[in-house]
Amino acid sequence: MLTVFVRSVLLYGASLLAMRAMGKRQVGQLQPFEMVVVIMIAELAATPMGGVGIPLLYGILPMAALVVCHGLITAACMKWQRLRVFLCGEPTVLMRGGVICEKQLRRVAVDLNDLMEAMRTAGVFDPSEVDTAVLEPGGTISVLPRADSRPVTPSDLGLAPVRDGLPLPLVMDGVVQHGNLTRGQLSEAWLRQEARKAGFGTLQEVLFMCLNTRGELLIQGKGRTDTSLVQVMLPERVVW
Amino acid sequence: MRTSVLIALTLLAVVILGGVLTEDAMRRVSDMYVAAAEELRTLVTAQQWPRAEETAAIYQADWEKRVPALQMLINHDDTDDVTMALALLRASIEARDIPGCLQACAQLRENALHLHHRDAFTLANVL
Repeated sequence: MLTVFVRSVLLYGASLLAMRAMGKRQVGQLQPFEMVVVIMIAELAATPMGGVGIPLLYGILPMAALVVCHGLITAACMKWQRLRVFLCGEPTVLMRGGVICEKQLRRVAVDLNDLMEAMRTAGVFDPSEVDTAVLEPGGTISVLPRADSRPVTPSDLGLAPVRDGLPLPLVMDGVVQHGNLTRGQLSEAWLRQEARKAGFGTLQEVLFMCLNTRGELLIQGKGRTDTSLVQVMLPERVVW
Repeated sequence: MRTSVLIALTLLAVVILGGVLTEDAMRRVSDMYVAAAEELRTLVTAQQWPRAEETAAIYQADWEKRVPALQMLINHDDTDDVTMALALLRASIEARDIPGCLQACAQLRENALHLHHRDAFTLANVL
């Protein structure tokens, strides 16, 4: 019994390592050749998991083979566009200028219901508001609303908004995020000082502290329900 | 991207090297037990029972030491077949049963050959 348990744990680790070795794209955006790898890895791990008479290597080696194939195919696809098109396919335009491309729909076996569903998922409920719909190689349908139906952007209004970049979490659950401190060219002494100003004796008392690109510091203490947002630097001083 | 390719190439090298080494090791073990089956058959045919008993005991003890490592590389059923053939051979030698010994020797020979043949890198196995 323990053997099966330990083997399962080891195969879980091996599958996890294999997935990590293949990179982040595996999880969210599967191309056809990646989908094959994911399905096969699940199957390969399951076979020796329960069969104590089968060496673990019989599960791990095929996984290694898949990692090798995947790594090499991915590299080849990056280098040769034609191979990529052959293995992953090309985007197919299903709707152009508000007109449904019936021939293309039939060719890729997407029916009108699928197209309507994709429009609704994109937040467009009226087909007359759609300019272009594209079936991506990954199988999702992207929808571009007509220019007069899409939400207004600052550039439509002639505005030039201030850059709104990624905020830097500086303390998470009492732990200082040194990488982010370095990125923002800030010191731990400065962080302590700001925490003290906000009424915290030590940084361990802080649940979350985050600096945004407008120079505002958001602080929430552990076990507290209130937050404070204070301007600690000028937006021009923001360097990340 | 570069990391993925590096991992793939390193893994490929490890698998090829591991494959060559294990295949070589399996061939040696297989050859050793095929030779053992031949040796025991000769001893049994000549009815040299005390020597046959001693030789079979040595091979059985050696096999028992090798089994845990072999089971990491090949199917347990294959190692079990050799273990059974050796046990059968020893019992037949103790009983001075010539037909039983010859049958067990043939079984040991085939099972030992199978150790290597089953996973050998051949076209027949690949296909």
